[in-house]
Amino acid sequence: MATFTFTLQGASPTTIDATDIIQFAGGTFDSPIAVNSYNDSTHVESSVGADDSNGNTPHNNKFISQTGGTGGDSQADWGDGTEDLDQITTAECALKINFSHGSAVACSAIKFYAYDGTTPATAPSNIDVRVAEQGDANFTEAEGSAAALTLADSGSATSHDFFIVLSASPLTVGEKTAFAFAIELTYQ
Amino acid sequence: MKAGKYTALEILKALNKATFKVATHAEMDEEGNETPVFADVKPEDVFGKYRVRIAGLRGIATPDHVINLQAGTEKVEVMVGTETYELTLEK
Repeated sequence: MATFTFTLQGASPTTIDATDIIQFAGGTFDSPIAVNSYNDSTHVESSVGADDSNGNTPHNNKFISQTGGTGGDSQADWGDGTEDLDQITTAECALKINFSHGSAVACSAIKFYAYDGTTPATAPSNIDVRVAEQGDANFTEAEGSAAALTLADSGSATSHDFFIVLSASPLTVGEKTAFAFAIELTYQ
Repeated sequence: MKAGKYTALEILKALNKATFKVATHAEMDEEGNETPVFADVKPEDVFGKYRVRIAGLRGIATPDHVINLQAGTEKVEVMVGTETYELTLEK
């Protein structure tokens, strides 16, 4: 059986359950992010609004620039100030996605993107979303399935880990709830 | 080589083979029997010309095709043409 497990990494990992959401905030749980600014904190929020990642010191990956780094690399801040995106380690990425299967399978055509929560091809409204796979030199503005981030193929194994850098910025005021992430892959 | 992300060419070179034996065509004798004719091809010259499969992944047609060998993987099966090789990863 194939299973996806989503984890917000941090000092301790927080599993993102089926009814949980990833909350991008302004530094503390439920705090706002200024328009055109990027997240200063990331949390796991339960379906009843509780901070499930409280006490786990969850990682936050903050977009800084698309090409302002060394040789045109993107820049991000994951707790040590601004650095080139390709310096982030797997342990420092906010999101870990695990795909497991009872038999060893290879994974290809792996895509990750943000959408409005209803239609994969539709970008979330009034949100700038920047994502990257660990090791990438630049962020991808993966808004809608057609603009998806392509992840590296993963060789045959019963367990596959994918490490994602996540950052988002509201382009207008107001809570953004029509906003989801999706991962698609082919396994064989 | 340990688990991690590598290009297809890096993985082929990790096999420490100067060339790979691939069937380029077949010759037919008077009785209609076909015999494959092999050539030795350098790792960087197999892509896009001969079948390359790495760790169960098919359709590897470029040397810079990135492949993530997951942590815990001990052996990687590599197929070039009709020959299969095994790469043992370091722990």
